[in-house]
Parts: sequence; C-alpha cells; structure tokens
Amino acid sequence: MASLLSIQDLHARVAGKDILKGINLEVGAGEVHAIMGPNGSGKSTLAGVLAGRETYEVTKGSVLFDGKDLLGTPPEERAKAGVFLGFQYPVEIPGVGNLHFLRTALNAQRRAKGEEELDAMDFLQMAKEKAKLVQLDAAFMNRSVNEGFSGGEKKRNEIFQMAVLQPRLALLDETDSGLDIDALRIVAGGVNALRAKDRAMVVITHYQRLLDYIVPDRVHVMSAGRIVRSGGRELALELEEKGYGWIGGEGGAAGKAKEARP
Amino acid sequence: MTSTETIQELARKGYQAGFVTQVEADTLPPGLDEDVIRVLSAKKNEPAFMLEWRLKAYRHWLTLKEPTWQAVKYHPIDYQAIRYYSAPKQKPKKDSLSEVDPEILRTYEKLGIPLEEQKRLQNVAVDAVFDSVSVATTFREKLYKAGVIFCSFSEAVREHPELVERYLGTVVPFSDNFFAALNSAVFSDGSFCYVPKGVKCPMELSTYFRINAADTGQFERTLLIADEGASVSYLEGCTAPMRDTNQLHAAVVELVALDGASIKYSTVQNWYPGDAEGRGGIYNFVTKRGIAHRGSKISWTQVETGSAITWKYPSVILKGDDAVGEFYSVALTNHRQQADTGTKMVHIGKNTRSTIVSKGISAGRGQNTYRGLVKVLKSAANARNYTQCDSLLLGDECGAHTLPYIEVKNATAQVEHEASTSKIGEDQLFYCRQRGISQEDAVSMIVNGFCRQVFKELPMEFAVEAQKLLGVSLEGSVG
Amino acid sequence: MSASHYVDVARSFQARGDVPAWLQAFREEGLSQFQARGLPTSKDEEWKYTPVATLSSHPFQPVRDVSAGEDVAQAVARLALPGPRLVFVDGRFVPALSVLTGLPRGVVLKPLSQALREDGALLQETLGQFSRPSAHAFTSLNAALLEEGALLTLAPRALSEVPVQLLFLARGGDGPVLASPRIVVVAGEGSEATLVETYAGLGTGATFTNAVTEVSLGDNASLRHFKLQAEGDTALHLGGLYSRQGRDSRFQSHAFSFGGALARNEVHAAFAGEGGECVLNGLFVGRGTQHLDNRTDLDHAVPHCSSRELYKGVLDDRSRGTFHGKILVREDAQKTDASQTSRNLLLSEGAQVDARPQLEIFADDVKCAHGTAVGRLDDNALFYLRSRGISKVDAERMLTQAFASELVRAVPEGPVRARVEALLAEKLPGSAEVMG
Repeated sequence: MASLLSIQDLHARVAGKDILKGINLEVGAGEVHAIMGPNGSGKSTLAGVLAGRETYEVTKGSVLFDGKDLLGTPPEERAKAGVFLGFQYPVEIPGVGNLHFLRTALNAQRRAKGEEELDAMDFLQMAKEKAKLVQLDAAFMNRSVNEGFSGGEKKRNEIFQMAVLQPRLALLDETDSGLDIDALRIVAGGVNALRAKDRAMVVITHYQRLLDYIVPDRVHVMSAGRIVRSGGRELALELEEKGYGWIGGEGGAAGKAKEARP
Repeated sequence: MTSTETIQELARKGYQAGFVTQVEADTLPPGLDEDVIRVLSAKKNEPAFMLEWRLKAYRHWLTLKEPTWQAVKYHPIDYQAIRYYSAPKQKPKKDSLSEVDPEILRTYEKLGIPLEEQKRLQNVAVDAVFDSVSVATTFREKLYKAGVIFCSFSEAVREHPELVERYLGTVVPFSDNFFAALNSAVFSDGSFCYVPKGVKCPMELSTYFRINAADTGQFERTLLIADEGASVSYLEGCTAPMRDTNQLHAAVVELVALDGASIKYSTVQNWYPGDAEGRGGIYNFVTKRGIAHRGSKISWTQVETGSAITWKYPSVILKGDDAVGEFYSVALTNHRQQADTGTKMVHIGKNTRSTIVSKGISAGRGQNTYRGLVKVLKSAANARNYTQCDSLLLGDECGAHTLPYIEVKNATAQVEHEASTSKIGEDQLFYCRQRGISQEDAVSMIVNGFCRQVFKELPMEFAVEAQKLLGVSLEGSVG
Repeated sequence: MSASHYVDVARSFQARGDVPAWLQAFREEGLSQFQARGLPTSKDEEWKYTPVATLSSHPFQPVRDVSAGEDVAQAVARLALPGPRLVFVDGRFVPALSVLTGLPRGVVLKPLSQALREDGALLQETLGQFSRPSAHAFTSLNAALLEEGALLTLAPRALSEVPVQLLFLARGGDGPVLASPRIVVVAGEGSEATLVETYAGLGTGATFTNAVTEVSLGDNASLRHFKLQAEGDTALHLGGLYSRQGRDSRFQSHAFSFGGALARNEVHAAFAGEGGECVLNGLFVGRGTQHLDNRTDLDHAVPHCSSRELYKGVLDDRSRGTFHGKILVREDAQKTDASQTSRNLLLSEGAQVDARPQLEIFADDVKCAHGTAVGRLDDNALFYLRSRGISKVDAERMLTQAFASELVRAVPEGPVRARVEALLAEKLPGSAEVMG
C-alpha cells in the first residue's frame, strides 16, 4: 500500500543553518509513528517543514502527501488537505474566542472540500461532544484562544482542535512536554481515541514517558538532522535504558549532559 | 506570499474616503484677525453675546503659545494661511433634503451615510457637517416630539440662545488651551443637542463631519446637554479628501451630564491620514471634555484610525458624588501617523468611579502614545479608577508608549493600572493558517480580537463599521 | 547588637568541627560572605521598607538540643497533614514525631543532618548553587550555620501524590533562639511532588528563623511548593526560596505569610530550560504592628517560558506590608509570557503597604503585564451586607475573605487547602488572637 506521507531525502535550513540533513520517512494510513531524539536534533523543524512554516527553507528533497507534492503549498492549503500540527508552543490569540476560531477554521476546510458550512448551533453541538474527549468544559471553550491557559490546558486544546478538524495526518510536536501525569493521561487518551484506519499520526516527543501511554507502530530516533535508528516499540525501551548517549554525534553529547544533571 | 507581503497588499486598498466633491462654496480668504471673526459672526446672524465671546477668545489666543509637550512631531502651522470659513452655497434654511445640493447628498451616500430618511440607518438621526457648516439634520420631527433638540450649532445659537449662553464654555472655557481658544474664536458650526429632564432619547444621534474644501481648517463645536435623569447616545464620524497639504481640525466638544443623566459619546475618526510617506493628512487637535454631576455617567468610546496626527484626551470631570466616567479607545497608527491620545479622569465627588480601557495598535512607522491622567482630589473619598492599557505592535519600526499619570490626594481612593505590550507575529498567523484560515482573515481576526473590549462599547452598526475600517487601515506591516 | 554578634555565633558554631572538609569550607565561605556583606540597612534598596534593626534586637543563638514535650506533640497533632513529615523544633530534628513511611518509590526524604553524612556528593554539588549569586547577608548566615533541614530527592519519573511535609516549630529556649534550616529539593526528569513547609510558633520566647530552600527541577519535572508561615506575634522570620527549572518543568510557589513581628518572604525563581512554567502566589495578612515583606525575583533567561505571579496583602491595625517583585526578561528570552499582579487591601487608617513592581525587559518579542492595586473595603458592599443584618465585623470579615479567596482557591482541594483555610480563619478580622 502506498504511504500516506512519504518523505525523501529532505533537507531544510533555518536562518542559514542546516537543520534537516536528509530525512527519509514513510508513514502509512492507520499508523502511529513516534520520533524521538535529544534537544536540537531537528524534530520540531521536521514538523514545521511539513506544516509549511515559512521561516524554514527546504533546500533538497521531496514530501508527498497522499501522492501529491506537499512542499509547494501554503500552510492553509495543507491544513485543508488534512494536515494538522499540534504545536509545541500553542499560540495565544487574545480576544478571539476559541470556538469562533475553530469554527472559522473548520468551515474554511469544509468549503475547500465542497462541504456545507456548519452553522453556529450545529457546530456548538459537535464541539461540546468532542470536548469531552479531553475533559474541557464549556466555559473553557469560550475563552480567547489559548489566552491565560496553563501549559496543560493548551495541550488539551490542541487535541480538542484535532478532534474537531479530523485531520488525515496529525503531527503532534511534543504534545506531552510540560504535562503533569494527570494531564498526560487525558491527552494520551484523546490521541488514542482519535487513532483511525484512515488517519496517520506522527508523535514527536522528547520524553520516553509518553510511550507508556501511546503505543506507536514504529519508533524513529533523530540525531543531528537525520533519522539514525528505526524500529518497533522495543527501540523505545532500549532508549529508556541507555539514554541518547550511544547515538553519538552532537545530539548524543547533549543527551549525555542532560542525563548527568537532572 | 509571506505575511508581510499580504499585509502590504491589504495596505494598497488604501484610504477609501479620499475623493473631492465639486460644489460651489462661500469661502473667506485665508487669514485671521478680528474683522474675520466679525464677518463670520455676521454671516451667521449671531446674537451679540456670541461675537463678544469669540473676540474675548481670540484676544486670549493671541497671548498663548502653541503647546509642545505632546509626543508628536509636525511642521509649524501658519495660522494666517488657513481659511476660517467655507460653506457650500445653498438656501439658508433647509426645510427638506431636496434643497440640499445633490452633490453633497451623493457625497454622504458614497461615505455610507444616506441622508434621505427613507434609506436611513435604522433609528439613527444624523447631523451632517460639510466643511464649516451643518447641511442637514434628519429625524427632526421625531426628536422634536420627544422634546429633544438636535440641530446645527448655528441654528441653536439663533433659536435657543438661552441654552447656548448658559452652557457654552462651561466645560471647556476658551482659556483652556491654545487650540480650544482658537476654536472658540472661529468655530463655524457643529452639532447641538439638548435632552430634557427625564427623557430617554428615542434614537441614536449622530454627526457626520466631512472636510471638503482645500486649505480650510475645520473648527466645529459640539455641545451636548443631558438634563436631570436624561439619557442619550451620540456618535460622530469623520472623513476628508486626500490632499498633499496638512489640514487643521481643531474641534471642541462639551458634554454636560446633569444629576442622574447618562451620555454615551462614540467617535469613529477616519480623517485622511496622509500617504505612506507622511505627506498630507489631517492634524486632529481636539479638546473633548464632559462634566458629570451627581449620579450621572459619561462614557467616551473612540476608534481613531485616521489623521496624520491625533492629539486628544476626551476627559471627564467627575464633579458630583457617585458620578461615573468611562473611556474606551482604539487608536491605530500606520505608515507615519502619530497619535498621542488618552484621557483625563478628574475625581472631585465622593464615590466617583472611572474606567479606562485603551488599545493602541502601531503598524508601519506609526507612533502611538497613551497619555492618561487619573486625578483624585482630596474631596473624592472612596474614588475608584481602573486603567488598562494594551499596545499591539505590528512590525519592527513602529512604537508604543504608555504614560500614565496618577495623582491621588485622598487615601481612601483605589487606583488600579494594568499595562501590556505585545506583538502580532508570524507565530499567531502561522497558527491560524495551519488550521486552514487564510492570511487576510487571520490578520483581521487577530486585530479585531485585540480590540474586542472597546468595540463592544460601540452601538451595533458602528461596531461593524469600525471593524471594517480597521481592516482597511492596516497597511503594510508585520514582520 | 550588630553583625559581630552573628560572626561570633558562627565562629563558635564552626569551631565544633568534626564535619567533612567540604562542609566546613562551605560554612566558612558563608561566614566570610556574611562579613563582607554586613547586615542590611534601610539605605539598601532591597531593604528600604524593612525595619532591619529588629533583626539584631536580641542575641539570637542556635540551640544544640531540644526536648520535645507535650506542647510539641499537641502542635504537631494540630498542624500536621496526613503523609510523610519531618518535624523540627527550634531548628533541631525531632525523630519521634516525624513520619518517614509512606514515601512512594523513588522518593527519598531525610533530615539534612543525615543527608550531610550520607549524600555528601549530591549536596556538595547542589548546596548554594542557586542561592549564592543573589544572596544577601542572611542567606550567607544560613550557610555559615548549616547543619539541619531536609533533603528531598525524586528519581526520574517518581511521583509523590501525597504532600511531603516539613514542620518547623519556633519555641525559644532559655535565651533568644536562632534556627537556620536549609531545605534542598532535587527533582529528576519527569518527577512530580508536593512539598509543604509549615512554620509555627510555640510559646512566647524570642525566636528568629532564617530558612533557605533550594529547588532544582529536572526536565519536565513538577513541584508544588507551599509555605505556610504562622509563627507567633514576636517571632522574626526570614525565608528565601531559590528555584531553578529545567526544560518543560512546572514550579508553583504558594506563600502564605500570617505570623511574625517581622517576616520576610523571598522567592527567587529562574528558568534554565525552554518551555518552563512558574507560578508565584502569595498572601500576606498582617495586624497589630506586624511587618510582612515579600520579595520576588523571576529570571526569564531562556525563551518560551511563562510565569504568573499574584500577591495579595491584607493589612489591619498599624501593620505594614511590602511587595517588591522583579521580573527580568533577558535578551534571549523571546516568547516570554510573564504577568505580575499585586493587590492590597488596607483595613485601617494606620495600615500601610508599599508595592513596587519592577520589570526589566531586554527581549523584544515578549508578553509582559503587571498590575498593582491598593484599596480598601468597598463601603457600598459593606453597607449592603449590613443592611441585610450582618454585623460590621462579620461583613468586613466576609469581604476580606472574598478578597483572599483567590489565593486559597489556587491551592488544589485537599488537606493543604483545608490547613490554609484554617490558618486564614484564625487571622482574619473578628477572630481571636494571632496563633502562637
């Protein structure tokens, strides 16, 4: 079966600095892949490049999404095609209601697909249903987008948005970082509930802990802009035991330093 | 396309009220002396007390120096090069709209202010001021039945001299400041409103100001009196043609809220801001003040998107016990626009309360200064003030400045101040776009979100206008 | 009385010897810094509003032994929360009243005296790491007299769901007593814990508690720190909390200052890794002639961190309070989101508060907000309540409680919040004497 996401020899730079140095990755529909790696290994850059962040410059390689070139299109077109990025640092937009924001987004996506727009009442009904998934209450949904949310609330809001937008490819960039254990359980529960045959997920994480709650089909380890190891879940367990030290290169050194001093 | 380009694209939409209307005008030659004032007063058939007052103001003005403390820069104004009177030629009495020059009617229609009552804005009475004079006032009949006097200032001087004489200059005396003195000497027209005791004005009142003629200054004067227990909501809008030279607009607004009255005064100011390089545009130097007696409330809401320079501080003197003052402001500066605006809340009565919410948006090379004074006098036991000042920066070349002045002479007062400065960045735009929202929609969503607290204070129709206006005024920024 | 008294005290303390060389060196460094810095004076900007002379009003001395009698047992019964705890009287550890069972796997709690023997390497690496650079004379003095306190370590991903409690009782002995506890928390990656420091008074002896807490949070770790300070009317209390946070970590400090003739609560928090969150909350309630100082210092040194600071003061009679909060956003700390709010309620003409927010921002893409308010009870609200038959005292109490409740509700529901509520109830207008 052809992959839903197919990345070939992807190179990218930020502010003149090469960050991705030849990424190859195939993700099929229905699969969950985890990408792990130390600070600065290029995990978040990869997510940003796939979603179309303009500060990243692709210098080489190709990305096909559902067989079509992804890289040439602006971020909103990718979103409409079904690419969702769960942000590492979700952005605050004061004065813009969470629901208003999400309905605007959903209707933009529905228009693109030739579907009818949802009116405020139908949308509210649906949103309330989805919100239960991550235990967000109604008052919370009416606040401004991410404004004054705690770190944990922001991450739950990301998963809520994903549940409403029903993407075909979800890139979750460190959605587990900065979460207390209770919040992590909620977020992971939401992600697991959204696993589906026709949906692929790429879960980027810094901490092994996440994989106790989300069991990936494949695990990839990134270091210095490349995927240096790929394997099944056992690879994550190996990492847990050995840390990133054995990977070598810049990333390895960082991982080691981190281990020595909590 | 990068976000910067998209916003520049938005910019090119430009100023949409910048056309000139061809009408025959009755204009005085440039220059100012006592004779000009006498001619002006005579043209308007004013009673003697008005001329006296104007001359006193003029003589006082001659002793004053132009102020320099405000954080705005402009070329010196040559007061002898300004025409102090320009009126479209028409029959003196405008009993019906059919007697108004059709060109002028078309002008207001183009601006979205249809004066024919059939096409009226729902339940809004409009006084249209074209250059120096009022050309039409709508809904007079309905208002008259309610006992509300709403007419041009010139008419009020002729028909209700006792009210004018009683209140004119009681809130802003001619000696108040340089521009107020000049206005007092030469003001040509404006709106007048009196709402009698206990009357709730049955509709929104509105004045629409238009500067058309070249080289004229606009010096209008508005006087609004809400008698005991009365209430009124009033809106003014302003536009001007695009011209290369700067034009001076030095208006004075006086509000009097007697015991238990309530006045809501909203402004959507969209004078021509000048071009991207800062050529032309209106100097908007305005004195606005209200006096709030016992248990009354004065609320200023302003959306300031136009003018090369905006310099105004709509203020409230909280004279009576339990009086309430409010100031809600959105000020946007783009290109080389400058705004130095804010408010003064002077607490004199006991238990007086004031709220200040100021939202400054700076884009391009715009400079935005909030300057606000909260003054609690010794007599103002238990006075309360809450001030919130937020600034939004779009791009790297603009500036935001917050200058709160707080003077508290009574220890039981409670004064709160909150301030924030933030920047609309790639991050917010990318976040919206990643969810499928277009760049244009994202920018307007973010800016309108920032202003929401103020827009919700505007009457419904105008809130929508203000939102649109903000979209158009947002020219070239965000990095 | 002057600095020389404390120098003498520290010298004779250090002369006891019989400790590892590194510890001796640490204490000596503390002493020499203390000497170099000298006692603060009111000319010091940092101590401008503090009656500094009080701090050397008695010849305070550390005690070597304490007897824990019935009074202590009763106080422990009244103040202790369920779960593991260490109890100290006048700075000395009381094993009999401490509980060390019930600690989850990976969580180690021990008195510092024991840790100094067993965990030399860890302590050598940790002690003074965060407190030294911003220290003042009394932090140095604490180092010079270092011998007791607590060490809490959390292994990576260890979870402690029950709060760990440290209970410090200031009783005073034959003479004026100086207690210098040092608390060290080292939290490994992804660990979570709640720590409650309670300070209370026993009796009316002259006591001076000079506590220092140092917290090191690993990546993605989370610590909730509560400080409940309800010492007696005559007590002197200085407390400095120093934290450093790793990437994605969460730190909350909730400081409740109710007791002491002079009490100064300092929090110095620093971000060392991106994505950190920090909450600094404080409630101080003073009456009589109490003087309650609050000093916070937040160092945003790295990008993408957020801090929320809310301090409220309630001051009655002729009490005095200060809030001096500084937020430093360094040049590299883009995307910082910081807010600081200080609200103060004066209940009488003679009460006074000085609020001094201080923001220093060197990065350009940040969101920083601050707000300060000083006010009195709303006369209209008071009148409204009284017109419904509620007595003036009760009405004042209700409104004051409402003012303070924001900080009480910030404490998660459970035994800690219940304890805070009880201590606050004793302190509000209309209640009996200050506990002590």
